[in-house]
Amino acid sequence: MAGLGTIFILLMVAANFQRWCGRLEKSRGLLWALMLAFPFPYIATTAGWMTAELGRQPWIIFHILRTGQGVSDVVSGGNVLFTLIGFTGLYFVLGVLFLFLVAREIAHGPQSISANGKMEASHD
Amino acid sequence: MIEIWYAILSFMLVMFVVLEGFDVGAGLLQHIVGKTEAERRLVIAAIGPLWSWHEVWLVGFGGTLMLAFPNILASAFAGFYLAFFLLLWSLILRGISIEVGGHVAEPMWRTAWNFIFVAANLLLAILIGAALGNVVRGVPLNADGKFSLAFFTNFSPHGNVGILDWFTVSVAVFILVTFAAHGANALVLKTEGPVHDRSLRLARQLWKKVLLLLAIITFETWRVRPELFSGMTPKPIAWLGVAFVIGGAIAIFTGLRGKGELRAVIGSSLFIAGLMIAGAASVFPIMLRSTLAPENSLSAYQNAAAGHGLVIALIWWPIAFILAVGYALFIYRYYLGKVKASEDTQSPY
Repeated sequence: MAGLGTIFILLMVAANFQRWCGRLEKSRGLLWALMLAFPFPYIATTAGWMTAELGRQPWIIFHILRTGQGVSDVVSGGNVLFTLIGFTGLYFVLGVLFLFLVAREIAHGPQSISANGKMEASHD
Repeated sequence: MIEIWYAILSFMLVMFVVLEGFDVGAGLLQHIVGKTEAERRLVIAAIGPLWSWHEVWLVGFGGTLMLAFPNILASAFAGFYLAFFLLLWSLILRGISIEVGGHVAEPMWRTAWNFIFVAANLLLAILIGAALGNVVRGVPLNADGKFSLAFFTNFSPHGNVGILDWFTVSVAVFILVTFAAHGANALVLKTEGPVHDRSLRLARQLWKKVLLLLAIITFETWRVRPELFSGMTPKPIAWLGVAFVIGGAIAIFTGLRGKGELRAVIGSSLFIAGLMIAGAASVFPIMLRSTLAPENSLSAYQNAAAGHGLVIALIWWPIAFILAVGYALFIYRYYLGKVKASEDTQSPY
């Protein structure tokens, strides 16, 4: 998570430096690195949440309430399983949608630069 | 202090239902007022930049409930467990359908997401209606202040009740029709052309049905929870709510007859807000009523957080409120007026 944060900073500094020099569109290696870095923010966020949620166990509120004491006694295990399956399914669909749309966006390619140097909106 | 927090909490719920009612109502009418794909996108464009801001009020309501009345939050969130998850999933699916529905120009893709959009809105209207019905009717609270609800038991609103019985189902139908009418008013204001004309025709029909259903619901509420009406007499705020309902209804019918599109939307907002204000003021201080025994009901006075925390929160809450309202004013100013299909804010190309 922290390592990924460093990679983000380095990538952004490098990309902004190249942009400042006007060479960003021509530096193939950096563009590849930027494109391949797209899953990293998601991995970093997930890792951050896992650190926060798993790291504080067995406390649900640190040094005040234990996780075991916070369990609702009127909610049955079956209900919890049902909602867990529901959320897993929902996130799975979201993940598939995300991969599909990002892959489509990458295949779609960047906007082309016309003769007068202006960006042209491309249509599909 | 406790009265102030009860008022703040009620205010946030009223804001959520009025604003979300506009999105849900417009959304569930998408197929009725939009006959072509462009017209259906127009409906989404009308709520496009606003819906996520409207949901902020529900999040704020939950946070404020935890802050001011933690016992009631604990009891209600555990008791309504499955119903809350259904509400959450409907909100998520509607959000996804708005976000990704416009990304691919394939008829199959569009139709599938439009279907999910309408279905999620339909479910949201029914769930919000059933939830309000449950709060009015009460829940089977035991002596520990806990309850758990099945989807339905024997359909009677007394004793060991479920989420759905004849009373909560009729409140859900009332809210469904009211949201549809409210959404139609908003579409009249926000759109032009065929969508506008169909929405106007629909709004005129629907509001007559709303008034009829309101009479039925009022009678049913008197049967299920008579103390709501006896509790109303000494409370001026409840009468303010009644005045909102009457004033709102007049504004709707005069606004829809002529060119008062904005007046009709303000009228329908006042109508919904008035009903909720009258209800919230009348039942105070009972926040959750027990259908099993009156002494099990959860009162605002016994279940408020300790005073010190509430005083600190009274300093921080207005800051968040100013930020939320500031953003609202900005976004409403920015998207003022009629939407056009080409201004569809959710479509990337």
